[in-house]
Amino acid sequence: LSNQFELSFLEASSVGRVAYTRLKEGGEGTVQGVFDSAINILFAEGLVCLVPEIVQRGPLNVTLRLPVAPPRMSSLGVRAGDRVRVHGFALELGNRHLVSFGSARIYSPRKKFSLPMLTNGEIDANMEIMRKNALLFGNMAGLGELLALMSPRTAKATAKNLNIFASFAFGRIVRLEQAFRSEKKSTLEDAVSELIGLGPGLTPSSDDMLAGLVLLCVLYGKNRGCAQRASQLLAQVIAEEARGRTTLLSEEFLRQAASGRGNEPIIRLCAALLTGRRDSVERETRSLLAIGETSGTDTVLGIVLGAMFCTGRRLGLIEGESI
Amino acid sequence: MITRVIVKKSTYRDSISLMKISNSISKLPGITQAAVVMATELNRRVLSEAGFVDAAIGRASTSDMIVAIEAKEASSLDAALAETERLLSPAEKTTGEKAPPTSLEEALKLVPDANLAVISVPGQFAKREAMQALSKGLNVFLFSSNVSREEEVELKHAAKEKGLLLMGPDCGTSIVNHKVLGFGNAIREGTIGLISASGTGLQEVTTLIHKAGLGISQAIGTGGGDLSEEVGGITMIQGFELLEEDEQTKVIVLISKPPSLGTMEKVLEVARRSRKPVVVNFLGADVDPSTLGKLRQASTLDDAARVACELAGVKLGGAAPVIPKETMVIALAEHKKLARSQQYVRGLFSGGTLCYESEIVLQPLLGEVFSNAPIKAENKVRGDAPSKKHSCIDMGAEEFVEGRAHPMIDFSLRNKRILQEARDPETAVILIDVELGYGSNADPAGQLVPVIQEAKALAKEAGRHLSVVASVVGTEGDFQGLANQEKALSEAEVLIMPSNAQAARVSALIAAGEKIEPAILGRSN
Repeated sequence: LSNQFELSFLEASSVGRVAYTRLKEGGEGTVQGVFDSAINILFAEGLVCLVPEIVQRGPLNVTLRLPVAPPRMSSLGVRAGDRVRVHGFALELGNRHLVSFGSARIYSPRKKFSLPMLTNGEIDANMEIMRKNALLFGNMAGLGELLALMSPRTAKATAKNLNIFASFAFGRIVRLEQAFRSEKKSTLEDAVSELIGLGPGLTPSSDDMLAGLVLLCVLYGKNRGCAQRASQLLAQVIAEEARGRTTLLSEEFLRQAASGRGNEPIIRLCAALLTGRRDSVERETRSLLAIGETSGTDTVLGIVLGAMFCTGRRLGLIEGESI
Repeated sequence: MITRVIVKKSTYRDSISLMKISNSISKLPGITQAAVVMATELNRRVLSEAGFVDAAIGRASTSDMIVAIEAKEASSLDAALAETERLLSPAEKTTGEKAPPTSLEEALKLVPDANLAVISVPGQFAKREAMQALSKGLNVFLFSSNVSREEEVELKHAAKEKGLLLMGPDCGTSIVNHKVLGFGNAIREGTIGLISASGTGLQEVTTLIHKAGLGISQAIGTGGGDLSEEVGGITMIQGFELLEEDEQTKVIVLISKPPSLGTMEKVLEVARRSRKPVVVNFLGADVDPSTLGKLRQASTLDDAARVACELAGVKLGGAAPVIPKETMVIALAEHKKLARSQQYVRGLFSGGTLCYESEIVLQPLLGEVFSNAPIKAENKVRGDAPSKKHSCIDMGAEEFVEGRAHPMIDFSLRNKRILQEARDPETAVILIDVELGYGSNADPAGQLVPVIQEAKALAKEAGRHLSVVASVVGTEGDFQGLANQEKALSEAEVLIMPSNAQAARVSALIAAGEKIEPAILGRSN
């Protein structure tokens, strides 16, 4: 190959389990989008994302050691529409690069954590740490403002000044919680379809929130050893409702989250919330908040909501109906 | 109101670009609403409910992008649409036909007579790329960090053998033949040559020299590890020899945080043999004055600039380490406005050396200063933990920059920390540095002013008065405009001091008032 083209060699350090399955099928794909943080490739079986190591491992991700700094995928000279071919354990990218994943490690996050689950009271305390860190360090341009509605102290002032997307999502999240507690699939379908695809970003804010929420619900069930019926229904509904209602990337993320899979920073935060101490919760929250523009904050919101749904703590925004 | 909707078929931008474009368009004159979103079903519905009625919205699919703008008049709308197109176009170029060179060979084909390579790649690749550049006869400015000490030693020996200079690794600033490499400022040409193991230290001293009306011949960065025991000051000594031979250079300035003792002695030995006047500014280092000989020692960065200018023939008033009387009056008036609980200085720095220098200035005046990069190991605190007593936090430390741009570019974390400090009833003064110049944020004051106003308002609501003290590292030639930046900060009631050390002294005076003996404020070692 290297004799046929003037290819530069890039080495993958990890391949997500889902990405690996898709690459192993071989064949051809097309570059769907080129961003600073990812090159998304569409194969017949679905998306695979080439990302710099700084983005971290994920089910769809192939993490690359990039010989450029800052490590931007957009600096590789690949264009949307370029053809991608898989040859064995290498991927030929737009006639410019050969990405080897032969020595990469497969990323398949454990759904059962190594430490024992905390009590619901302890999870509650961790959740509060997450919420406060997100309010302090998060980006509120998506749905993050809703985190302030969970505290009676800040709820009134925030409720008056919600941005257009948070304002639109506000009542729908309340209905989602009611649907979750009802354990009725049709009610959940209505509630979820009212949220999928809402908000700014390539993965719209509501989708990031839903991904965090459903992932936490699935992992809570796995680690408690007794999956709640409501969580199972929510996962099923989100995987079904995502189809065609949002961007392709977001649809993939939602389907993975509903199966209990997620990118490394999200999984680590879920583990810290359910099994960790204050310092690890703080550290992992900060790490997730640094992702994307609003994605990190919206995902943290989702994880907080998921924890509330699972532990039975009612949403502040319902209790404070006076706001 | 008039609205316009444009649907861009099968167009993708990452979330950061989408948000930036939305924010930029919303701020344009005459624009009442603007959204740049992916055309999901719900986003289409939200736009319809927000008053954007257009058949194109209904026809858009989830892989399309919608630009929706509402304006007061047609001219504003047209301007906003043109701006949207402009903002959307650069990303196209990055993936377009003319891809930038992806290897040293490709770059050399474009500039065959280059004699210096600027290398900024992840640490694990840095040695390979730097060795390649050296083998092609190129001097190297190595911006990359996370290069091991062993690799640094190997690279510097290889460079020295070939008679080449290797600036770095982790080299933030150099000005070579009046071209800025990395972060740096527009500095006048002159006769003072500098060699520095500290990036922001070099920026501070060069800008103060410029403000004094003088200029520089060369400013050579060595990287922070050069004066370690293992490296032994290879680049600083090589740089010194180059400046010694350089006809334009009449005065030489050496800048570093404390070097290892063995290396310091080696560097001083070379400096003592110089035929030119030399200023040594090893911040916080324990230098025995009897070993200095004719070398001039400076205790702070502004002191180094002052002494260098004196040696170059100009007596410098502005940056002398004495607080002028009128500044003392302002500082003591600020002190009187503080509530009883407000006792502490909280320094939040984007420049690591400026953080370190502030600790050096504050500690003798106020006692213990806690930091994530402390002078004394026992005063180390986690950078992201709530502040403890007097604190100086280096916001450019690794714990803050992982996955983010440096705080000279991205102000978000420091801005949040400013608000956090403002909420703390014990905070008396927030002390900050502001860096202008190449590589820095295009409008630092624009980033800081709304946050400082909010911080002051938060304190006021709680019945307190919050002082904010800053120094601006920059010159009138910097593209951000020094005067504009200082004016905007002053209008937000920020006390602007001529140097970082002076800002630290004034902060101490505001926090402690008459308890500090004014005489010691001006005493240099």
